[in-house]
Amino acid sequence: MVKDSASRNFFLSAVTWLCIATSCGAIVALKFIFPDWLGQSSWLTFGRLRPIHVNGVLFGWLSMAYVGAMFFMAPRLLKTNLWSEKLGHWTCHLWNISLVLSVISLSAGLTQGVEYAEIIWPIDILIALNFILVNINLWKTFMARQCEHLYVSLWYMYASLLWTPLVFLIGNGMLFPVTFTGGIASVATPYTGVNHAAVNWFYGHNVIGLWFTTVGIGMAYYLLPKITGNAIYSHRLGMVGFWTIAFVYVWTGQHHLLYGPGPDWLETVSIVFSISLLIPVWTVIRNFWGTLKGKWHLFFEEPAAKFLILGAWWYFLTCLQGPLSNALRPVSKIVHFTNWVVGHAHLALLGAFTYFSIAAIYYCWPHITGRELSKKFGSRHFWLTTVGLIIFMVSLWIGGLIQGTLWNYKRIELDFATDQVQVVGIPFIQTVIMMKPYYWLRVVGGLMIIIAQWEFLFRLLKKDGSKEMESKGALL
Amino acid sequence: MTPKLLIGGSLSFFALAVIVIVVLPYVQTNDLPAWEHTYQYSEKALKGRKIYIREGCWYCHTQQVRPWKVVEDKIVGVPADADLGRPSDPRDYVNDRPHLLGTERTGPDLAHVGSTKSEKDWHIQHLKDPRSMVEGSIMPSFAFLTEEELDDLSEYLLSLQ
Repeated sequence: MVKDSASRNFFLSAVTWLCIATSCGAIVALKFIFPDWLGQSSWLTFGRLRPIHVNGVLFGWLSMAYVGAMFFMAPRLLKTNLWSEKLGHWTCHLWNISLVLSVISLSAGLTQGVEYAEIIWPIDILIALNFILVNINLWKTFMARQCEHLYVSLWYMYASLLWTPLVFLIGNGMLFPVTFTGGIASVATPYTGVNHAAVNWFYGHNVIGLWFTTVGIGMAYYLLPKITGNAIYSHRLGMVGFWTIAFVYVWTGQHHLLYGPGPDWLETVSIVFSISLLIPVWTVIRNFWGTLKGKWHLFFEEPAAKFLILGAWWYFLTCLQGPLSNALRPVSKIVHFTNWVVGHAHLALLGAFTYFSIAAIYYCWPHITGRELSKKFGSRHFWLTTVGLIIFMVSLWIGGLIQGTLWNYKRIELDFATDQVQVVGIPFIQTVIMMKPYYWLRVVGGLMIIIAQWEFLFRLLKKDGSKEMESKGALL
Repeated sequence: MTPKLLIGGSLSFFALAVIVIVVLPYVQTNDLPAWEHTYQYSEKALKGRKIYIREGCWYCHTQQVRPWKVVEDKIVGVPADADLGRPSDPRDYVNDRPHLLGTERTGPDLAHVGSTKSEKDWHIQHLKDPRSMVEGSIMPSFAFLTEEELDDLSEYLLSLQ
């Protein structure tokens, strides 16, 4: 098996899923404006396409890009080769099969009915198996390492490899999926009501926190010194950042349910830890800026640097927005349930972590295939994605703030006939109609992003289109 | 940093958090007693609930009213929910599996839709052709459901009181 071929396959699959999943997102976004469009057959309705968009992006695009990057980066940091390229290839096939099965089952309306955990349990087992196979491959690589020192990227990656299958299992209730009613075994979640909501957001938030965030930071820590040629600014900060995020992140899920019917103490715990998240975030950002010192001009020269640097800014912004707006009760009162939160989710996943993943592909691709994507395309890819993303997010944030403000505008009226106090608000439908221009702007921004990703895919697939590397020396 | 520290440290931090924020809430809230406002579902309503889940209604509709009350002509708590009826209680949901609290209000909250819209025919017509009942609505049409499915789904909506 050719070196890095498993990594290459994961990257190509990832970008393919990126195009498919974001295109589903565009259809979903258009349905906010044309609700009857593609609504005649059940499998093209909003309720079926939305989970394909979300799960496709989470488990197709980001997760596969992360595995591709780890297969490339971890062996290099451990001064060895990937333990088994062959196992890597089979994992990639199995991963794609589980995603195709997910798309089919979600289209058919088979769902667990839980956000981020829609995929039904037989396919969940396949996905868990994928994560276990990746674990085996990378831990075997780890054991064959030819170095003493463990670079900070490795802590993030290997810790995430341990956490993620556990988060996935707890979130999907698969530790005890079988319930018995009247002697008949059936598969159902063991969680009920408000407890299920708490588990739902333990899972939802930690898939983000202990997989997308931590592997993403690990990748960025790998790419920064490689692209800038500078040594990492501070190892000690790296260590503080890692252990604080490892300790703090797990506790924050309940901030998705502020003022909800669940236990108040759990909400308060999540708020305290959400604010504490500012510590690891600051250490990471300080380390990034320190390492970039004197090399900011690379932003204008290397596509990988463009995506990496702006990705770090998006990461910074999303980690300020999360704790300070969504996770504080007085602000949550306004923005909860509005499109503000949708904008925030895209800032993290489409901003920070997608940017890190694209930077990784731009950096790794020449080393894997000997071919480099043209800088001209890299620039176009970056600016289309970035301008699209800004239009997309800012329109949702503004729309969301207006929604939230209007919902909170209430007056108290006294009904003289019954002598009863009555609370009157703005009719809900008016806040739906008000959103229309913002929904339009989301479509415009989204389409710009999607066009850029399709061209990205075609350029990666085209054998002769990207120019042959003349000298890899500078990058290696 | 040694591999032992990495594995031991990251797993014990994780375990500690799981004990506090997964196991404790499980013990505290998973088997709450029912009370007078607990959502009760007939067999037909449960069928409807499955359709509600299958068609992803829960993506756009929440089923939770955040706490509010009127104290001396002022709304205390979350004003946004003050016209949505009785604030939700954890015991309301003991029959809910999976939970459908929701995270987004693209459409209105449905925690008490069975009381505010109590006619089945209204719901069936609204599901078939939302814009004929609510001008400006962006809810998709569910005309592709069979008559029986529409009836089950409406039965479920009426049980949300």
